[in-house]
Amino acid sequence: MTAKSIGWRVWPLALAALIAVAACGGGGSQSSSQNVKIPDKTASGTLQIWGFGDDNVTAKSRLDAFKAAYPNVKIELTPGSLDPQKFLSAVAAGSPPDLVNLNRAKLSTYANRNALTPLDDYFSAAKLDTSQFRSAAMKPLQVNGKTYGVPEFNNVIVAYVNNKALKEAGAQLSDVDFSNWQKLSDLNRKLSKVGPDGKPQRVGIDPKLPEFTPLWVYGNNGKIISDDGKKALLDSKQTIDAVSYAAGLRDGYGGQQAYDAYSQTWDIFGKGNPIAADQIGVTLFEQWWLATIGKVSPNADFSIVPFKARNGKELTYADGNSWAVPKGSKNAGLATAFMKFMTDPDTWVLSAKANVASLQGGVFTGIYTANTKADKRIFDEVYKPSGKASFDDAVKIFQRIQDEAVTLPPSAAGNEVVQDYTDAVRNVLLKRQPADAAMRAGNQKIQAALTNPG
Amino acid sequence: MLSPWIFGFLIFTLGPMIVSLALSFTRYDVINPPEFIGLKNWALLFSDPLLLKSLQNTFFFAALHVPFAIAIALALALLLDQISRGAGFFRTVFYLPSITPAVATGILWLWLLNPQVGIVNQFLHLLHIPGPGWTTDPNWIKPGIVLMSLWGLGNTVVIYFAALRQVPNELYEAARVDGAKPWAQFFRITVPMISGTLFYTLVINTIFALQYFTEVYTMFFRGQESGVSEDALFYVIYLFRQSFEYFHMGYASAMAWLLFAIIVVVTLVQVGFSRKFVYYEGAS
Repeated sequence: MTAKSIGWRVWPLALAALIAVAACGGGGSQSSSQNVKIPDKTASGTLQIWGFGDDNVTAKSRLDAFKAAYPNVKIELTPGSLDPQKFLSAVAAGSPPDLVNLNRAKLSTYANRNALTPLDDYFSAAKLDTSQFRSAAMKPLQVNGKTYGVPEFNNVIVAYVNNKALKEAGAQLSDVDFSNWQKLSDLNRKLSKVGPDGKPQRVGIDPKLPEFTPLWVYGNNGKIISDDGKKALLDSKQTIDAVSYAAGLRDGYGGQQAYDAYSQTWDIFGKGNPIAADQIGVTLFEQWWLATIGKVSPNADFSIVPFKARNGKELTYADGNSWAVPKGSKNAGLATAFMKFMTDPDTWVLSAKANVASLQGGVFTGIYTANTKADKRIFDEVYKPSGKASFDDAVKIFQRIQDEAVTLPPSAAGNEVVQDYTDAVRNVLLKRQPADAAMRAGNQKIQAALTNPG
Repeated sequence: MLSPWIFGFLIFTLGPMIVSLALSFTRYDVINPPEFIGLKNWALLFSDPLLLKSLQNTFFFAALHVPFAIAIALALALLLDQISRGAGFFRTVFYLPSITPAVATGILWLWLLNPQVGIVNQFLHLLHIPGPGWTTDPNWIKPGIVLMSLWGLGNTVVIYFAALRQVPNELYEAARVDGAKPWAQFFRITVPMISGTLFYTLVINTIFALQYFTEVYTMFFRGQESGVSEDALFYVIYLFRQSFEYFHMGYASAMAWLLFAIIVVVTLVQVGFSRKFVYYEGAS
């Protein structure tokens, strides 16, 4: 009967934060480029990094390379996703880590609250060329005209097609056409299987709502918020039509509740993944899933098809992580050297080689780094086609669509924007509200959050 | 002797409470200095539809959880009190779930309650009862959470068991001599004699229910984009979202004080009723 509340956490934190803010005066000037120093490889000291672990080959190989290059620098890692409570408390108390690794979509929320250090001067001093990073990856890191981070990974969304299901339905790969909604609805009907008890036995086409709402909206020439991050645009006709159509796909296999119950049983990371287990016909999913399938189901029979906008152009949505330096970091120069090293093409190539060396019968599908030069070198120097068409064709598509990515513009209320469109779309999926009413209500909430983010 | 406790209370409880009351009149995002905005946060409390929904969810949960928790825990304690062999083993078995980490409990019950393959619906199927969508149907999500919450009754069972052991045996012997049936013994002797303990667990379980957080957050809100929207949005989850996802610390502080006020009122009402129903040995 222990009271598992958070009240005991909120109050002490608030006190600590208030005292800290009072003590610090909440101020501090930013370094000018003249004052910024980037240490060389003889540097010594400790670099505290939150939100980053070395529990995978890609991270560990790069970290080991940094340690070898900077032998006198000690790295202290706090793995797992960046904990917002801990992070904000540390910044408010004036004892933040030197560097953090966080989801790019969350960066603007912190930057708008002055929790991060603008890095333009540091990048100039370190001669870090930000033009080598993909524009969709850099966009969320540029807030109010300043750059707050260095991107790593460019995770794009594509459609995974279960070839067995497609054959069974007598359909062709060309029928998986996201620009032709009528064709897609027909395919959904053919691929879906519902048992006599009304429970789905195979999901025809999974639009992955509400997670991938922005992709459907952008695909129909709509937007969630304006490019300057100030205006909510969830109530436009394009957005309403996109959500209404994509949500309707779920009716083909019993509706949202039936889908929820069925999808909660899927083994996304295992040998019995929904493609291998024939639980799904077509699903939108992030590109990282290919590497998982490559490891656990190297003989899976599937194809990758890019999402297409209504105008027929290939389109994808990009996500990924970013390095950022908290406000008050005592080692911002060394942190910049670390960021530069970790996202350098040489380091990525080394990491790709380590990945290949660690394969045990799996398929190497490349690393998509968000760095154009690194990507090119990885695919020129390290990647070799596996001879398995499913994987090799997928890799070609991933490379091709990296620059076709869109992403949500940075805003002061990033988390609320995501939550509010999620709630609105969820109401459509559960048929609590028609799409136009749900999107209008969501739009009001988003606009309120953008207008008054504090 | 008390000074370390008083020191800790002032620094870690009373001080933060006072600060949070002050913060409830400000716009505050932890990083930037608080900005005084008067009663805006308090006014917002009464016009925020999600706050109202989260309160409704929480009261619904408390209204189901508290009576079920007390009744089932008492039934289990009575069973334990009846058996002589293996009582220690069963006490341990009943207590074990309450020391299971809350996050693990949430994940476990997401599986147990799965409408399609979960063991709960499989069991109902054996009885020819169509299992509901415990984790998917907006009408069944909260009853499913109540079912999960009853998993951790071990503490209450142990408290009741200890209370039952304190009831003088002579009272039962005298009742039996007078021809009292077991039910009469239970309602006329057992319940009055442990009424102080029942009242204590009523208060504690009510506070626990009004602050329920971890298991539900783990089940339904781990991924922001795949949450079940407002059906499982309990008050403290919404408070957490306002404070640590949206950084509306001022509004979250006002929410915390509203919850505190609700708990105080509910507890005072319970104390008022207790004067009629609770028997204290030695009380005048």
